Amino acid sequence: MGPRRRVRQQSCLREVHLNKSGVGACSRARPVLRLPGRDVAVGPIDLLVLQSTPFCNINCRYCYLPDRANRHRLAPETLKRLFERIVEAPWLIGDELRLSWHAGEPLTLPCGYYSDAFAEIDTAVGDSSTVSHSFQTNGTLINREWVEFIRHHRVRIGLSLDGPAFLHDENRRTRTGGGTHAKVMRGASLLAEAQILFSVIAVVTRQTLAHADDFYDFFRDHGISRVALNVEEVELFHDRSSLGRETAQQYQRFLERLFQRSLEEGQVDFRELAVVRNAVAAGAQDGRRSGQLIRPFATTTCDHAGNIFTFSPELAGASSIAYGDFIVGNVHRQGFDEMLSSPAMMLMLRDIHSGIDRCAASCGHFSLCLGGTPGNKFFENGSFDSTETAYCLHSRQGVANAALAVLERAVFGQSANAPQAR
Amino acid sequence: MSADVREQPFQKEREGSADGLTIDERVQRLRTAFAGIGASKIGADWANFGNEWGQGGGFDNKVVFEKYT
Repeated sequence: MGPRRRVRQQSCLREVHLNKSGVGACSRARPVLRLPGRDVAVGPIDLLVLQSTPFCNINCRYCYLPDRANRHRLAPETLKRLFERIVEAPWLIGDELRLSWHAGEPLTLPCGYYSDAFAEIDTAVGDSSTVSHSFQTNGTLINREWVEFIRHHRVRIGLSLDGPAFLHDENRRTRTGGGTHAKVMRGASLLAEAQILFSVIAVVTRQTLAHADDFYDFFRDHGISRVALNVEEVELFHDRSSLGRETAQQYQRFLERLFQRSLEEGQVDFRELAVVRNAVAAGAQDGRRSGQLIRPFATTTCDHAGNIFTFSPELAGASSIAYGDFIVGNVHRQGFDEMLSSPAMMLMLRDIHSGIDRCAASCGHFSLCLGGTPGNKFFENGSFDSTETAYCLHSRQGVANAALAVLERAVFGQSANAPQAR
Repeated sequence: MSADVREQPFQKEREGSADGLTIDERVQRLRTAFAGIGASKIGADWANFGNEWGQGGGFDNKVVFEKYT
């Protein structure tokens, strides 16, 4: 199976016509949403998160998902309707339509479910974009049948793995409280035997911070070369984190050690270092970074009932007095054009941009961060219209500080106080 | 935006930096150096890592997949 041809959508933002609701559109253009003082471009989808099921077969201590004993499935007719809605709104479709099956453990459903789903999506999208599928999985259910499926359908794999067993099993546990590391590593071995490379998302807790070298060695020793670090966050049903504002400095030192070894040894790459390295190289307004969590529908989540969420995917399942249930529409009732002007969309967008303006005015890290982590702002501060969070102290400011320090040492030498002539 | 609103956090960053530079100044200094030596020689590219949210990355495994399909 080769990559399908795509037909690139023409951008014609200058031809937008505004209607009464503040939504502008022309037949082939990306719409814009009008806020006081600025127009916000909408779409295309950078990542479509599909919740095939909210069910998860394990019970991680820090999991934020509220409904993980629920065995409902995203029904075929809901999936079909979703892609009809997407095709009806061509401004949603970019060069690549990247799908992540997540928000539950996707591998609890049988391979046949996904064979049918992938075929349905192929039919709906046709030649209008290149579709790529990824599973974000806990890895405990990977067997030879899944390996064959992954290979046949060219599915990208993100494995949730928190490092060595003594760190991983502390939090990633079965429903009866047992560790899951051994099962995950069996799945990883099956992938490796089939020469299928995978990336890892590792959740970092307070306990991890004292074990930077063990953490790095584990990934190096298992040939895992691409690791993303997610700090334990306060989100949804996980309302307390082992990390807080007081651990930000320790996290920065942890990162510096990982990044230093990554640059020196070249065997494990970290997403966080790569983000800063790209921002430095390409300019802070690097398009990939500037809007995936703040541009409407750039990140779109469809839950198993067909409800649509945008901005931070963690908002799916949350509720608030101000923003309701964060649902901007349901594919059985509305198209994406109509969702654009939903009250929830406009209120969230207004507050998100107001919060970003406040970040820009008050934070020295803004040029690297760009203020865009709405989910964390809501869960920690209660509003999108807010600024610093414990999350950003770790994952934005801490990452920036650690990455810049290590990059400076690599480029300018150990003292890094002044650029050396090269 | 008044200058005093920005001054405090920027001052904090200067104090936190070994050489008294702001984040923006450090980025600019590095960017200039990168341009001279080639950024591709330093670290991995974020394009390999998927979405800002952390999902949808993973290797495309082109060689492996094409061998079998």
